[in-house]
Amino acid sequence: MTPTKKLKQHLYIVLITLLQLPLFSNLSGQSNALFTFPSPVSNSNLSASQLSRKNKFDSSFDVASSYLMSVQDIALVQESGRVAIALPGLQDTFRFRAAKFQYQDNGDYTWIGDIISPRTCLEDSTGYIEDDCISGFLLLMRQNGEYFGQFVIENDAYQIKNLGDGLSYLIKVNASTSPDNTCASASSNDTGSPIDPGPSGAAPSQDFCPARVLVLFTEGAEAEHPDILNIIDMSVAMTNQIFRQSKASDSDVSIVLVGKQKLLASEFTESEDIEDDRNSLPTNSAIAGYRNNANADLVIIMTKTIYSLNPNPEFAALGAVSGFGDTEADKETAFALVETATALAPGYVFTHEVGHLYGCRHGRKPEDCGSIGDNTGLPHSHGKVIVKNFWLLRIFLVETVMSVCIGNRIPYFSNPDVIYKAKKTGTEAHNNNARTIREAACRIANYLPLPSQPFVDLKAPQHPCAGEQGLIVASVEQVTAPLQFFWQTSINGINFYPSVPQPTSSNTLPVSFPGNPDLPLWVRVTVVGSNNETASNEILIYSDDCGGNNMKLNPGNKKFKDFAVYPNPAKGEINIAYSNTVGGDYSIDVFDVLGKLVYKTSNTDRTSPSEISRISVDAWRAGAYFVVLKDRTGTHTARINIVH
Amino acid sequence: MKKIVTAMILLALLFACTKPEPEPQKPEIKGRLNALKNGEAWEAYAHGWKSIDAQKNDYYFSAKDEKTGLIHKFSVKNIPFAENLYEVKPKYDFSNQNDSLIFSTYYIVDYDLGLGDYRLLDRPGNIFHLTHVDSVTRHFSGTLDLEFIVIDKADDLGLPDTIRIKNGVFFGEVMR
Repeated sequence: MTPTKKLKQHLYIVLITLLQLPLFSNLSGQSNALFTFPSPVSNSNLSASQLSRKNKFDSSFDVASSYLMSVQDIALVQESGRVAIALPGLQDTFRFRAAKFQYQDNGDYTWIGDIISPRTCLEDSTGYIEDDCISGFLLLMRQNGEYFGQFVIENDAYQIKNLGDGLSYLIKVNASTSPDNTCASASSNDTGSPIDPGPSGAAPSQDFCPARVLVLFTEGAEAEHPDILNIIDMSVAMTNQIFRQSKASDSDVSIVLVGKQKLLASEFTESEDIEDDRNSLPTNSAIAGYRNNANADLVIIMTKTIYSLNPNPEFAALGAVSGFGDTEADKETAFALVETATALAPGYVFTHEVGHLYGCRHGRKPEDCGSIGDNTGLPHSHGKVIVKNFWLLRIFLVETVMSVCIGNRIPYFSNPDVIYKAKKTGTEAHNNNARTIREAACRIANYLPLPSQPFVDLKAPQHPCAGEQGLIVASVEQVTAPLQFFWQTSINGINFYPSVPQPTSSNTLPVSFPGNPDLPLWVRVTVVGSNNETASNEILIYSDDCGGNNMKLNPGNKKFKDFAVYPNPAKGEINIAYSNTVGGDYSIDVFDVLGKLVYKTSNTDRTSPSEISRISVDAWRAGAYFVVLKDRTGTHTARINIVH
Repeated sequence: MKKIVTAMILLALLFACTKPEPEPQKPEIKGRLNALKNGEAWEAYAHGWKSIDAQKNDYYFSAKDEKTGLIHKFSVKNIPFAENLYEVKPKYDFSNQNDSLIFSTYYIVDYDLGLGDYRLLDRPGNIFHLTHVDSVTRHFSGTLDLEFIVIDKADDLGLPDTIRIKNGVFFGEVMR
């Protein structure tokens, strides 16, 4: 296949996708409301089975309010990857935008999205987030036609439970207080970092290293939570969502559920002492057998509500871990206990304990409840309590997921590069859980090593401007060359085009990002090696509205200052201008439309905040090229035409 | 026949109205411990929790190290509420939660994060001595001497390999 044919084929894929837009994106103005609340349903209208489940759910959670409702199929109601939730008694309609959509051929799926209205907290290319935005996410799963999930709006957490026969139950869960909740009013001399960029500290990107997690549950947990299997699925998906939105991983999956298994009472039963129980896990032969069979790096045991009932303040707990993952030896103690009722939002205890298993620590004194400070081997690995100044007062706002208290946890690991309501969620020196997780990921994924699996990772420009052209680049591991790439795109995450993709040898796909920033673009690649090894992956991309000129600054830009390539079209030489106000290393790569690298430079010893690189392009063929700038704010792409 | 039917109905109603057995009440223990921990004076709170049905108490002792923020805690379990000198043993097998072994474990934690796990050293002289028990006021007092050895600990915190609780004097009250 000639290069011209390849290019035509790739652009054809995108064109076909966009042409399919009216057919599959349901933009006809129909309601995309996810929930419908039928006229008042009393308990007397419920079947015995539904009533039994409802009563069980009521007793399992600290219920603030609850509603009977029906959940609509996201595949039918989503508009451009968006769904809406309107709740009884609330005026606002909350809209969520897909961040991940794993759709299976049988119609089941896992859908995770971020809240985008009334006031989004999502970071765009400017990197600025207003402090009065509304944060939250929605996780909805469909399995065998039944729905369950959870969503969070600010500090309000809701569980979506299945009652059967098409009826669902929405529970708003009170933010429970931890045994030591007095710290929720802790003040601090640390006012929370403003969003001015700090020194460079971005950790290097990692290989694909998903940790294999086995989740066991006790008979008591099952009796207390009839939907324990759903809770486990949600806990894993939620943890990955928190990894993702905390930018703790370059890859979109960091833990993989490799098994759900009930423990017989003879194998493990909760005592009243969480310390004795967790101490017993590494030597429990039954659990060791399950772990070895599943080849699991980490083991989480979900329990009934028991440890938090211990009236002895120092012995009451919602979860516990035997070892925290900062050394190779921790593979012997990579076990955690989690009280099932608190696994999900608003406590996020499952994610909290997983964080410990990756080496994350609590917040530091005096910000947090008195967790230890810097006298550890990972001084940067602490959670963060975020406060703000109000006149002379320092007002406690929220705390990241690794903080001790659970009353005001937000679903973020600390990370100085992630902004929550105009505040950094971390600092380079002390509060960088994301770095801890990145650095630990591959070690933990090899606690119980498996033969390397075929894998393909996809990278796309971050925050491309609407209508801009860019490259999707596939990186392949453990697949034997020569490789065949099968590229597909979609605008709804369900229907991919072409339905029968043609093979190509190119690991890049040039795409035109949707001209409307409201439209999502899914790109899927399947790679087949010479020994028929296969790997597949998807990426979801939204473009930003860059004011109609993707080379100009957004006036509100606080982070990404300037990047321009001129003249365009160019002949003889081009100028690449870059104003690096965020500091740190950067690199500039230039690719042709086939993805071949034609120019590369990097600067690791900067002295000037602004630089212009002048490059001769006489040797380049006439045509389009993509200039890719990478700095600590992300990847930025510009397209330029060379003429001779 | 009518009487039999009536009796059966009454019997059925009787069982239908039977309330489930209430959970056994959990007595709480409040008290104090003063001891030498690895040669230094140490004061800890005493707590407890155990089913009354078992007629035994579990004694929990804990103190927060203000310098490090870490919580030190140990428990002595399955002690009958009667004056006696009880020999305390290490426990190796936790799979049987209902055995009557009198055992003790020591933990150093950062809330839910286990940083140091210790088992009782297998030696004579690990004792929990209830020297005074008042069955009316439910006050008690006694002495203890225990030595622990590390099972697992974080490397970078300078935690000890052995912990000796010596000359321990405790007192307290079973609250209910």
